[in-house]
Amino acid sequence: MSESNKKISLISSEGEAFEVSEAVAREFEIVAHMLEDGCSGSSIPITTVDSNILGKVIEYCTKHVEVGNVEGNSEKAEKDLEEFDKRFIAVEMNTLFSLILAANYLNVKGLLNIGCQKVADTIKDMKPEEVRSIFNIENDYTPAEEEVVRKENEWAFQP
Amino acid sequence: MESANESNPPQLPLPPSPPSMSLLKLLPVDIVLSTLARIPTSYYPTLCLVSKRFRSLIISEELGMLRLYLGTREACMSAYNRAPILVIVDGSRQAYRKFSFTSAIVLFSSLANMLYETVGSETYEIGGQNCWVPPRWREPSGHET
Repeated sequence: MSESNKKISLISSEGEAFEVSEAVAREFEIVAHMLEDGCSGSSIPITTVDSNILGKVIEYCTKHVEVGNVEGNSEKAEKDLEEFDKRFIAVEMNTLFSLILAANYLNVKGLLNIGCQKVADTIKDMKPEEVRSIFNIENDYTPAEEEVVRKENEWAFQP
Repeated sequence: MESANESNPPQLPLPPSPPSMSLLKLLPVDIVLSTLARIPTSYYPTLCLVSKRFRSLIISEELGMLRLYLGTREACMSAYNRAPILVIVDGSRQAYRKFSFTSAIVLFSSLANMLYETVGSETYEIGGQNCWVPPRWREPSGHET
């Protein structure tokens, strides 16, 4: 059982060390693979994720590991976790995208899923220009092209 | 080659350095697809207007496959009369099949809780009016206004 007490330091892009249990570090699939590949180092640099985001990802993983370790009362635990996820992901857009990129890079699937879901829920009711501003993309349609796409879609919605 | 140098902590592979311009370019395409796949197809027509790249992702086969994988494929079908057969697509554009008119009606009837209606003599839409079908599968000459 000593294995579960093992601590691993995750180092952010600023060089800040976050000490976590091995179980939490293993929630980062990329780290889990490194450990399985026999990598014995106790400090792992996460050079592309800054302290703010790394701290958040660790918070997410810690909560999920904690809840996963609780035995019994699973329904309540699941509900709590859902609530936690909801609160956790209610962040402004830039942070959300940073979290998604970090989750993708570190391969934290649960976080990636709730992140993508959050973006989906946010943009679905938006006007095209609002989606453009969120993704920082330019409208590359000429007015004529835009009209063609609009026409196509009108047809799709005819009752 | 494996000898661990203790002063050198293990390095994770570096992802490509992120460009600062467009998030659509910054985000890996599978993340954008994964986001789009979680949006009901009824929102796709509006999202198609965002940009050409956005539209190409929305009408891509990959997105249809991903919806299938994520289980967000919608029970929504459209049928187009190309007498004597019907061309049937579903909301995710994956099921693309041809049926004789009779067998299509039998098929639709067998789909529980699914509404179907006849619109004019050309287009049959099943599963409500929010069924979005990519342009390339439509019959532009066949519809009435």
